Amino acid sequence: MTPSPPCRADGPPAPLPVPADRPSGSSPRSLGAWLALNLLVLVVYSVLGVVIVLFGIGPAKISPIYPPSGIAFAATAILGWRVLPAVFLGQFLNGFPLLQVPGTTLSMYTLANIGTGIGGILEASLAAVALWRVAGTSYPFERPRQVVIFLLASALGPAIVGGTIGTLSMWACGFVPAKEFWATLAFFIFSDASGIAVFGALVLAWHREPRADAKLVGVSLGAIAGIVLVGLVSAWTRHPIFFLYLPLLLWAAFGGGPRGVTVAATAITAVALVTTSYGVGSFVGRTPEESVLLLVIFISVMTFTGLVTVAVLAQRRQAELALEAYNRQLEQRVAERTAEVAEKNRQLEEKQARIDEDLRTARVLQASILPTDFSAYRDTDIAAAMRPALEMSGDFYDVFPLDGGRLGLVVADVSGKGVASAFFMAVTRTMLRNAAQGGLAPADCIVRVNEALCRENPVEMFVTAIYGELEQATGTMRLVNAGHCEPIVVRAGGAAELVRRAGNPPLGVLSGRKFAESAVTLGAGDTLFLYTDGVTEAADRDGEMFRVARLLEAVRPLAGRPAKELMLSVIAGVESFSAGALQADDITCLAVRRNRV
Amino acid sequence: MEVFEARTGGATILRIVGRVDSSVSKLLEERVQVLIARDDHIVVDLAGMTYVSSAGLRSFIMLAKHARDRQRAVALAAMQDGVSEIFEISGLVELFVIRGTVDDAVAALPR
Repeated sequence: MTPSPPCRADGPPAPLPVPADRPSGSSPRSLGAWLALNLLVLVVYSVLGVVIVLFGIGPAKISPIYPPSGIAFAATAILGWRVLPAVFLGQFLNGFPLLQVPGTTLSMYTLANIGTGIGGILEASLAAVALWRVAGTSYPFERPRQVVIFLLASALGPAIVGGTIGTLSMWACGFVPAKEFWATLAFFIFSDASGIAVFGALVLAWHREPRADAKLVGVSLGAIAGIVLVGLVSAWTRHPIFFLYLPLLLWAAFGGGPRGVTVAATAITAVALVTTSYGVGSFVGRTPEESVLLLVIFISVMTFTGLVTVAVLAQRRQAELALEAYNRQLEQRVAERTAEVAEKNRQLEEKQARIDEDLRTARVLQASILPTDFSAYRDTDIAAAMRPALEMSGDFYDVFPLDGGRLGLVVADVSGKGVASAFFMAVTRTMLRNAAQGGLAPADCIVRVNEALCRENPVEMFVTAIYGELEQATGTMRLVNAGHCEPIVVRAGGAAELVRRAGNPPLGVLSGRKFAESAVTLGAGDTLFLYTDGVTEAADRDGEMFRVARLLEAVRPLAGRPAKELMLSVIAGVESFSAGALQADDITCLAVRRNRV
Repeated sequence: MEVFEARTGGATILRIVGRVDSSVSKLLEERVQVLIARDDHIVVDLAGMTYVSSAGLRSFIMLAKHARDRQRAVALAAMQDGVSEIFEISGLVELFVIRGTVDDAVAALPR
């Protein structure tokens, strides 16, 4: 198939007269070049005009095809108006057989052929304009619609105009008897139309891409050879085997495209015409007129079939190319998107890994700010543990020494879990420690922390906390419970009691509020057990909670035991209770036993 | 725990039935968020609430804090004795308007 034309395929036709961008092969601007161009067209025109007369049918030498019409049309379509003088002159001169008509005067001859010459100019011009304007291309072989327009608007229509003018001129000058007028008109039109359809198409197809590759040459020569063979056989045997031209035509169409099929159509026309002119073959009728009619019909059908076939093939090929391009585009897009997604995934994984690493570091950091070594406290036996439910915990405990042998004890629970709670916890812990070590009483420490948390609390968090101050020498303890779980005092004698809350709200909820203190005294061997609700609200598989009652039962048998033993025993009890269920909340415990002195 | 909702002139009545512990406190908090976004005053009918754990109390604290940020009032009505005690020792009574009946609670809301 031929690639799209470089200058114009579709779209609006160029303004007339034909602009220089039309592929004319040369740009004959000078007079000499113009003369040469016209001479060339004139020679081709005249030679074909003479040759066709040699193969005229019957005594009147009528022909089903007039090749010069095709040459005139193609030359005008390709080269523009400047070749019209050659068209006129060619038509004028081609009328020379009229001179042989008895009684013809030179003036009659001249007059008649001026008429046919004008008809020829009009025909070629109309055909070219119809091609550009109606078919919208100078290569009408890429869509079946273009083929139909070409055959109707460029071949048949202009032939009617040219044929009518020509016949009228000849009739007016006495060359056509009145009784032959209609027959002459019809054959004039037929032969001009088939001339344009066959030879015009041949020139247009080859003009676009004159260089033929080996395949095209092979197909063209093969088709010509086959066509000649069919012609000879039909002439020899007189069998009507003209249908054998069809496979050869289609072969040329499939193998050679527009160029191959126009060569085949021209060859079929030539062979059919030559055999018929010798009175042999499939198209010989009872009269010459009948023969010509048969030939005209046959040539028209062959040309139409061949050209429509190549147009359909071209259209299909274009659709295939478009589909291929679309597929390629699609594949490329898919590949691009896949790459993008892979890259995004990689970035996400990288980010996740970074976050995980940060969380691990933060957890280590969080754990490291909680004291774990309590061996320095001689009078008090301390144990503490924190088990986060998530990576980061909102729970914390703290133990720190104060002036006068006093000890600061904290257990707290920040609302929520995770990173935000952990930050809030660190802030709270630091504030509480600073306040306590600054010498404030427990209730005042808590007030200060509460005010600070109410003031600087962008994330709507709050803390339940117990802060206690234990005087190690006497065992007296002042503590503030800000909305936290009630601590348990485990007496050395085996009793376990809750230290009732004094109605304080959690920290960070209400500002401007005073907090009430409670007082507890620990005797020798008594233990204070502080915890978070992760202990009492640990749930088993059925959703049943551990509760304070179970906790009291759990600590009673451990009265007087070391703090660590009591704490671990409680944690083990909670864990076995909630075995198989997910840990919902952080679990934090702080056990403080006053040693026997 | 089950939660029922009703609306009466300018207030949403939230009726909580059953135990409010850590297993449902998240659910309650979500309900509360939706309610708060509606900018209504809220009356919580606690006649059917048999128990509230510390996690449940958190939901109430969140409710109070969010409501205060939006200048909405929260009234608790018809608390059972055990629950009332829990609210008192937790120091949360100051956060809410507390009334014996739903009607009284609705009447106590700012107009």
